[in-house]
Amino acid sequence: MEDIIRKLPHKPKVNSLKKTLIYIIVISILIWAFSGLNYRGVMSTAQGTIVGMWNGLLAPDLEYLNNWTIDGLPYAIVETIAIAICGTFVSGILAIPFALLASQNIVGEKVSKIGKFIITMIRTFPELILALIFISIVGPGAPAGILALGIHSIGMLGKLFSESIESMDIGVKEGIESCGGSHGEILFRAVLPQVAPEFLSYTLFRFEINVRAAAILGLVGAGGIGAPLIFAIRSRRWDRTAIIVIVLIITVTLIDLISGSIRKKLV
Amino acid sequence: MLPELKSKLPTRPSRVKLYSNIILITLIIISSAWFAGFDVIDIFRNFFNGFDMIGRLFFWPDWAYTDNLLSPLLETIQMAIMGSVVGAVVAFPAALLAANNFIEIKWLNKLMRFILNIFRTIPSLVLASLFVAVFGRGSFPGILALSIFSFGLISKMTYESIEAIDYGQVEALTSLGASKMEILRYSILPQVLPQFMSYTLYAFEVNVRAAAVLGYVGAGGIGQTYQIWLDMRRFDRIGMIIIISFVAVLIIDFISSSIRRKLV
Amino acid sequence: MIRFENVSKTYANGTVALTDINVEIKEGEFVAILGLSGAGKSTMLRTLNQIIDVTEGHIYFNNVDINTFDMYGDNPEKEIEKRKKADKDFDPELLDLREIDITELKGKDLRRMRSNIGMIFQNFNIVKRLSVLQNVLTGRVSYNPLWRTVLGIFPEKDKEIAYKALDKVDILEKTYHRASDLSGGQMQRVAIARSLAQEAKILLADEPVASLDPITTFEVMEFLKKINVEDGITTISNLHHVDLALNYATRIIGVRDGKIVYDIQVKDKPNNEIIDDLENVYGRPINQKDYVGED
Repeated sequence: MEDIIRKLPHKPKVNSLKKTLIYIIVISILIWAFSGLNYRGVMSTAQGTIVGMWNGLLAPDLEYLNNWTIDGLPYAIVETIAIAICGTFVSGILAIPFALLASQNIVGEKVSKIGKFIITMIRTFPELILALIFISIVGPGAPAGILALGIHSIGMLGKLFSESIESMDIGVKEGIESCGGSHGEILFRAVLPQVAPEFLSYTLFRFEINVRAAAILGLVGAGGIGAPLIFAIRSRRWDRTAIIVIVLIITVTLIDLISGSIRKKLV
Repeated sequence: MLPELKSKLPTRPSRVKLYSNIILITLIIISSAWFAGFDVIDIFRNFFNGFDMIGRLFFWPDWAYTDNLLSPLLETIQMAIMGSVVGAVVAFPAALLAANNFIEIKWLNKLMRFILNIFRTIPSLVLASLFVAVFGRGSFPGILALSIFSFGLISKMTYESIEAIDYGQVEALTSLGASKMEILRYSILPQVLPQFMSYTLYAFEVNVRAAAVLGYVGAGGIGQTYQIWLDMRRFDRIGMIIIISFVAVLIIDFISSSIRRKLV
Repeated sequence: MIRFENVSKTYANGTVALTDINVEIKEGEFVAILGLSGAGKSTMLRTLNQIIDVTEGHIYFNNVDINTFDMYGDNPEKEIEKRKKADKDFDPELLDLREIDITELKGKDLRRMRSNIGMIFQNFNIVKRLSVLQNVLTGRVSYNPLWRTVLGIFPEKDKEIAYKALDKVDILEKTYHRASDLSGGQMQRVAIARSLAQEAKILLADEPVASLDPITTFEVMEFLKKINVEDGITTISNLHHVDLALNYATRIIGVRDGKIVYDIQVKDKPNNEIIDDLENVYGRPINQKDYVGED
């Protein structure tokens, strides 16, 4: 056995040092983060609140569900979906030029870096704030929400689109270039046909996210189910809260399912 | 065209389906726009208000206000870290249960996936408002909301990863008599762990953005102050908050993406 | 040592993989299973350690201690002597040797039975992200309690077994390397070392050299032969190449359409006659493709 031990190579020690350092850093960050957990316990009214929520869940406000007027739940949900549809559509169109500007194989290295930076800036801007800004421009209501979603979604779609463009087969573009195609023709006959299925898939994916986002934007007054929801919570109308949340979950799940199956057929 | 050639041509595939899809989608979009009252022309008219608003936000933001923002900003980051970590810790076992190649009990897999889906459909802002009603204002409800959201996000991506592993390694360990836990430790974990950590970091990036606005409903972080200044119409301060959040997110995104690239 | 009795396997989608397999394999044999792709070779191998179950039939292992599921093979007295020498506390009185049907085992018993059987694969199935040493140590999981295996803290004794195994296949210098750094042939050797660390009595090899270049192929086959001859490990290997079977195996079994159609000890006939016989197994004459290459 001893001669085998002698033949053994040295155990590499360098890796262990780096690993230990990383562990120490990560654990310190975690300790710092959890120190901020100031659990002040539940509110004195918590018990009543939870009981109220539970009761609301068991007996949701079905009257609100059946209210087919402009004040009712169906209208609000449809408005939410409409906001998501329009917002996604706007961003889908607007994202294309941004994506082209951010793609290395279209505009070259330097310009694409600027394009990518712009897209990241747009992505990072919180939708809620964007909605607030648009409300002060076009007034409260659905159009503000559409604009907020439309602009913000450019961030995500622009990034995904440009990644698509950058990974496409360069041969097709060269093919059109070599037989004398102009920039416009290259765009329409080489680039877009290749990436169109992926674009559609990403756009649908963003639509799924936007339905959720549209539900929230109502919180600040940009239309949709958000406003009635936050009113219900603030006024502690748990039966109404429950029905809104239930319908919201069902709606989002259905849309996810439909959108998901379409996306599967695309790619 | 010569009649012989014409008869040899294959029939052109029907484009009816494509055209009807396009018409359907166009109808949906137009009716949505009408329903929402989205009048493009109206918007153009009001556009100049926009520049005024942007001007008030960013020219000239209240730089002095930065000092007061540091603490809420750190709180926001803490919330995001905690939410991601707690969500991740719970997500891993959940993903194991949901994956159809580890615990192969079909009804359990379907049930887990269903539950995970529900968690992913509730926006974190809604969850945060509900938790504020129970726990009062502060960062705790926000952390809870972020944890639940992260749980939904990370577990889905993780179970898809688990289902995509190279099964050969699992077969090898099964054949030498390893138990489920040992198979997990030696064939699944090495393949899935780097991706799992990458997903957790991604959730963290999303959470930092979300945490920045959770304060709007009183759930802690830098967002709590938006409402106050909006009411007081101090747009210079709001502009500063936006800029600081913005810079923080950029830096964190950058660090997080670099780490993620090294992982996978 | 191993006895297939009326083994049949039909998959859920209706494919009939094996029909009425009856064969006995003695300890120490080096069996090469030949046949076309889809003939049932892989299925047959996998029923042996039950990673695929059988639809009908039994697979018996003789002289298995019912308490520990250790295998004592065709010569239990010899094996008992070996153990007495290795372990002073070994008490032969406690042994209860029976013939075990692996198709009836489940759970922990099945796992303990499997630890006697090593398996190597065409795709090596080594954990790429772990080191060579950690890969070989996974062969020791059935000999250690759960807390040790999950935390990866193996006792020194197990590590020595691992080093010995690595030395046997001549790859000790790569002990601490990450498995992904290795070439195909080296990975297969690590897989063999893993089975050695298991202290397996039987080694199943599913197309072990199909992914390797000719020179590495011979290297790996030499190691398989070495452990078969020196350590008495019963080896059963699926092979694509006729010349490998003739040069390394002691016995050739031909499988066609899920049935055994040929079974011969290699030394019983001259090679060219065996090659002619194999036409019956493949349904066509043996040609260049069935040979590894320049020898």
